[in-house]
Amino acid sequence: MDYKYIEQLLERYWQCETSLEEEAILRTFFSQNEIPAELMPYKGLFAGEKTLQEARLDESFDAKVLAKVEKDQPVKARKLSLTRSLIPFYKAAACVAIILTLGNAAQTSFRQQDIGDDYNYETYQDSYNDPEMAYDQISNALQMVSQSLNEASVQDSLLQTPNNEESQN
Amino acid sequence: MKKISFRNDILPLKDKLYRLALRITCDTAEAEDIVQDTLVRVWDKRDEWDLLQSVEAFCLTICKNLSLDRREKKEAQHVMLDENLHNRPDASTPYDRLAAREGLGLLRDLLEELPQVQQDIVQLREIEGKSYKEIAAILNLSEEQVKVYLFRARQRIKRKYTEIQEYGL
Amino acid sequence: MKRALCLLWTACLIPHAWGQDFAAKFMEQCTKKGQVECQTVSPKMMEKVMETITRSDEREDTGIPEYLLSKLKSARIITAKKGGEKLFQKAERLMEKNKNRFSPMADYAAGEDNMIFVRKHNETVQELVMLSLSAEKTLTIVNLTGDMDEKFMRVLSSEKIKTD
Repeated sequence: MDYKYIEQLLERYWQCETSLEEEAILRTFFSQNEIPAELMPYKGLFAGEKTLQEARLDESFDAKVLAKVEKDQPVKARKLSLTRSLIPFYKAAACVAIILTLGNAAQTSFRQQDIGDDYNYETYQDSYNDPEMAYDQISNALQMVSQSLNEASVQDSLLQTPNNEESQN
Repeated sequence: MKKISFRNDILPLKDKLYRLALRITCDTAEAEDIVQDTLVRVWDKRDEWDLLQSVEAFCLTICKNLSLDRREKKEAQHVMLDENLHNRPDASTPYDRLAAREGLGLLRDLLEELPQVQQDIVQLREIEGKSYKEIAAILNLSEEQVKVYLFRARQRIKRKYTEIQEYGL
Repeated sequence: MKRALCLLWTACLIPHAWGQDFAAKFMEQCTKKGQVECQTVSPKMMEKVMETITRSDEREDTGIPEYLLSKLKSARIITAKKGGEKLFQKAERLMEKNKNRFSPMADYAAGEDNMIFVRKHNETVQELVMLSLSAEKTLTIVNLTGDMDEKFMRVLSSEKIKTD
């Protein structure tokens, strides 16, 4: 083997003048057993690189990861273009702004019963993007209410007739 | 916008992630764990995939951070004595294996003093065999910048290498 | 834009109807916004949660019974760690002021720090509000809207709902 060639390659390596193929040659060279003493010091570096290069995970790995991830799969890959996901936000913000402005200004004498008036769900801004997190929150909330119900002496109030609902703020 | 699929676009990165984790931890079992954790975390953030410049860089970053965390925790242990490396099929003689193992730890020592971006570039060039153009795309740099960083990195490795060698293994 | 105009018109017609839940009303009246936090789960997110639950096997015997989720439209949780006591009283006052809209679940004594109020429409509870002040003086308001019927209330009050 012409060690001079390797030495030249090495020099060019430090200067970043080597191509990928030439670098591969260096690594292959240094993986050998027979290396001249003066080049021996660099064996560790290149052999180490080669070891790393060849490191692989086996087939069973795929199965393990997919198992962990697969149970979430039914919720399909969620595409959320940033602008698209912000549009409802802008609309909602606009609506809230309008309503709040009106709410403050308007003082009419209209009186109407608000039997079953709809909640303005469009203005609801989600605090969570992830259903899992939302689920946790709801879970907590229901747990608290449940405890509270159990503690209070809730008699037949559940079956009382509905109150007469007049509007009043 | 191209829809990113876990199975086709992200899972195939597993070997790259493995090599990165292995480079940092020098422990095959630990590295495999880390890759699994990384992929699960990436899956958990699937809402953000479309917003990313490079999914690969994203995965590599998470993997690197996890690897560094694990390594810190294992600081007390003598990481270089990784028994798993004995079973590597490509290492033929005991001397080869010793050299390879040393190389791995050595490589880690050589690289860890480099600035992050240089480490990334070395990983991508030396171990993943990427061209300057490819590296530039992944790390969102210009090709010129990649060359400059790689040059500095190799010069630094060369200097440090000499130091280590002078003080013996 | 059409939607905005629609809401505008609606808002003009029924200015005294709330059109919002208790939590939203309460938050409007909170001047020191930093003190209070309000987490919202909208009907849309509620649907997504339902989807996730119905497809997941893990939740079979643990977690919230699906029935409860199916009857909920929205959920809001307000928490305040600082100034919880004052805010609790504020919430009480707001509730008192609107006793024609909300009725207490039980005969709560004065000074009670855990109360539930409901707003009913034809035997179903449309809105449920829980006001709670913990021993550490943290305020928590849970505000649910939906079609909470008798079965819902039974399930909610009879079962011990466990979270993992």
